[in-house]
Order: sequence, then C-alpha cells, then structure tokens
Amino acid sequence: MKARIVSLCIFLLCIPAICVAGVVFFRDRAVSFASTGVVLLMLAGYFYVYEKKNSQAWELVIVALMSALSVLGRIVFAFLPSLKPCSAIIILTAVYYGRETGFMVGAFTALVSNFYFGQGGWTPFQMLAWGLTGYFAGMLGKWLSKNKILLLIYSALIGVFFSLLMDIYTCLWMDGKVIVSRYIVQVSSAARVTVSYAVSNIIFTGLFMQPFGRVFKRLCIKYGIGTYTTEAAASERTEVK
Amino acid sequence: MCYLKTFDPTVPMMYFLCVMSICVFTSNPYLQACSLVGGVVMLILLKGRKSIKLLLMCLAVITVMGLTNPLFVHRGLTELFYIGEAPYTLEALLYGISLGSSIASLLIWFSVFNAVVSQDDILAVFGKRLPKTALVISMILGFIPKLRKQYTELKHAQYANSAAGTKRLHRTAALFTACLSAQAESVIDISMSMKARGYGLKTRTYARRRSFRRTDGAAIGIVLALCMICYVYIGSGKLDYWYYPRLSPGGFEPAASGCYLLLCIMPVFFIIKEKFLWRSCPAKT
Repeated sequence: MKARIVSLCIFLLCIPAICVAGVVFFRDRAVSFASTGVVLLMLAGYFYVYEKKNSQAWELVIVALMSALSVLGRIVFAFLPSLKPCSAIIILTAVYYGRETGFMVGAFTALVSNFYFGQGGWTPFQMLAWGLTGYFAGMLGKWLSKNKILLLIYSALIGVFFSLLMDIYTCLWMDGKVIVSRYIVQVSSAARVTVSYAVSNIIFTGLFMQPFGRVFKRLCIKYGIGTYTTEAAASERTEVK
Repeated sequence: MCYLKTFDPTVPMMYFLCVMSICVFTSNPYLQACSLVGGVVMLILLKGRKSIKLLLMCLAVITVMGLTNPLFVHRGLTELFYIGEAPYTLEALLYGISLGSSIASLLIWFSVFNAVVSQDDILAVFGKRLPKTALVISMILGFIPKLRKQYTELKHAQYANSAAGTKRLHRTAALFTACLSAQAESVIDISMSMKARGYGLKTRTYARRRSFRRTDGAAIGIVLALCMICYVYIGSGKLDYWYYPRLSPGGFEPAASGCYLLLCIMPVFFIIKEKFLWRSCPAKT
C-alpha cells in the first residue's frame, strides 16, 4: 500500500516538477529534458513498486530467464538487421504471466542487451517502449491467449508503436523539441524499419506461439505457476489424465 | 587497465550524472565546448588509439547535423545562399553544429562512462538499494552464457542431424524453443532452492567489500558543489543563448564555464596520477 502511495506521489508531484524545472532551467531544450525526466521517473516508479511488492522466487527467475532468452535472441539474430525476436518473446511471456512480468521482461531486455550493444540516451526509451509492449500484452492477455489472429495483429501494431516511440526519441534528441515536419521526415525515412519491426513481430510470434505456449502450460501443470493456472489448466489436467 | 577504482563506485556514477545532465540539455556553446574538450581528453587518456573510430564518428555527426539543419529550418537573418526558394542561413548552420556537438559529447561521455564504470560497480551501488532488480540483472547475466552455450551445442547437433533441408529461420526458432524448454525446468528448480534457503526473509544481511570513506564524501561534495554552481547560473538565465533570429551577444560567464570545465577535466588529474604511479611501479616488470 505504501509503495502505491509513493508511486502515486512520483506520478502526481515529481513529473510536473520535472516539467517545470525543464522550462525554468533549459528553456530551449525544455521538451527534451522533461520527456527524458518523465521516462526515467515512470521507470523509477515502476521499479519502486516492483521492489516493494512481495513476489515469489519463481516470478524473479522466470523474468530473468525470459529476459536472458530475448537478449540472446537479439545477439543471435544480429545477422538480420532489425529482425529481432525480442518483442515476440516479451509479448508471449506477458500473455502467460501477466502484465507486471511482461513489463519487467521488456525493461530488463533493453537494459541488459544494451550492456552488449552499448548504453546511451536511448536506453530509458527502449526500456519504456519494450516494457509497455509487455504491459499492454499482459492487460489484453485474456483475449490474446485465446485468439491467435488477435495476437498476431497485436504484435504487428505494437511493432509500429515501438518504432514511432523511438522516432520521437530520435526527434527529441536532434532538435530538443518535436518539429512536426522533421518528425514526419523521420517517420517516413524509418518506414522500412517500422515495417520490418511489424513483419518480424508477426513472423516470430507465429513461430514461437505454439512451442512457447506448450512449455508454459507444462510448467503450469507441473509446478502450478503462472496466471494461466485457473480453469484452463484444470480442464487440461483432466484431459491429460 | 581500470581507473578511479580508489573511490567508492558511487563517486564516478554521481560524477557522470552531474556532467551528462548539463552537457545533454544545455544549448550554450561555451558549456558544450567545455564538455567536448573534457570528454575528448578523458577518452584519449582512457582508450588511446581505440578512441579514433568514435572521434571520427562524432566529427561526422557534427558535420552532418550542421550541414543538414539549414535544409529543414529557414530561420535566421544571415543568408548565405538560396536553395530553390529557401534560404540557407548561417544561424541555422551554427545551431545544427551545436545540436551535433551535444549528440557527440553524449556519445563520448557514454564511452568514457563505459570505460570507467564496470557492471560490478553498478551492481555494488544498486545491490543494497534495489536488491530485487540487482538480483534479476545478475541472474540474467548468468543465464546468457549458459543459454548461449546450450544454443551452440544444439546447433551443432542439428547440423549433424542434417536438418539442413528446413529454412534457416525455422531452424533457429526450433533451437530457441529447445533452449527454453531445456532451461525452464532447471530454472524452476533454482527458484525452489532459493525458497528453501530463505529468499525474501527480512533478516538476511549483505556483505560490503568496502566502506564509504571520508575522501569519497569529499569528492562527491566537490562534484555536487561545482554542478550546483553551474545549475544556479543556468537557472538565473545568464547562460541563455539563442541562435534565431541573430546569434545572441552574451551567454559567456567566465565563472560558470570555468566551473564546468573544471568539473569535466577533474578526473584527468587522478587518471594521470594513476598512470604515473603505474609507470614508476617496480612490480610492473
């Protein structure tokens, strides 16, 4: 409860404070300062709640394993430019283990894979973008786990969302503010990347959907972990018997 | 070779936070020049010949940003020439160079950061304050080599099994799934063993390798003081600098620029001292 109050304070007090400070101190680059500050604070608030929450050991371990797997994916698929299985792995984890796990897997994937690919000002934005990828997938998990076509559509849309968010970052970094014409130029010049994100998400979600689901369901039946546990597992357990 | 290890890891991290928080967001050319000078000196001292590639890249970034900015922005009074109908102005050119140099100094300072602060330092700083996050990160860093090894083994096995008929993407996806299913259960065993050994109990203690000394406090104090002086000047508006419609005449404050330059080149003293000590050390040979 206390953690929720602190995170509310962060969201309601600190974020406006950061915006005001940006305007007072850095008139010219206020937007860039404020947006970076807001992104960092959102991550800080989320991580604070995560730290304070009582979580089971298996939750941490699953987060670590899935993040490691998607970092490995980013490393292994480095031979195909901008064709990465990370988003697909994050989405599938979130669908089966809920939005908080999804957020953490996304954030840690960005953070740790940048140990290998180089940290920079883009790290917080990537962490937030991938974190939100997982968070939304977890929120819609109930529908996404049942309907495969919906899952594919979601993964394509989230690929586009990811690319647009990163374009905003690029724009902010170059100009200190969002010049609409420059943003449009940026988006259109990155259109190839956007499309390849969406396509790669569809391909990898399609490829991983069934095998990952099988592994997660097995873990659920054998050890009783995951949000999937409820009726679905019970019915499947009877089927197995 | 590692530098600045005589300090508590909080000191270099605080230092980089202070330096970067100013150099990234300011548009004052004097402060930008200070941060570029400090960053380049530190980079060359730390990395030597390996830094040339990054420096060339930064030069390219500055040039490209400078030359292309006037194509998008047509403000400014000093017109150099016209491209079609649109003027190509000196102010926009200089503004582009300023933007480019803020990106370049960010890249340079991040490279310096990576050279000075290791993953161990990051974990040492956050391990006490954010135990869960630090635990997960160290677990991820442990799993990656494990998964990688398994991935390679499976790949070789697959080649031997002549699965070459299928597409490369399918093969890789199959390898991934195999890695996951092989590791998932062993990982759950880890979590059960963690639980059995009392993970999450309040009474667990942490071992600290090194205590926070008085010199660390003094170093952080100096860094924060210099940083605050710069922030006060920035907040008072004396360092405001604008490019449009005409370059602003003022914006140069000797005190603020001096403080920031001092802040940027402060570690150089310690690095040179450590290099000198190493050179004159009898244990070297």
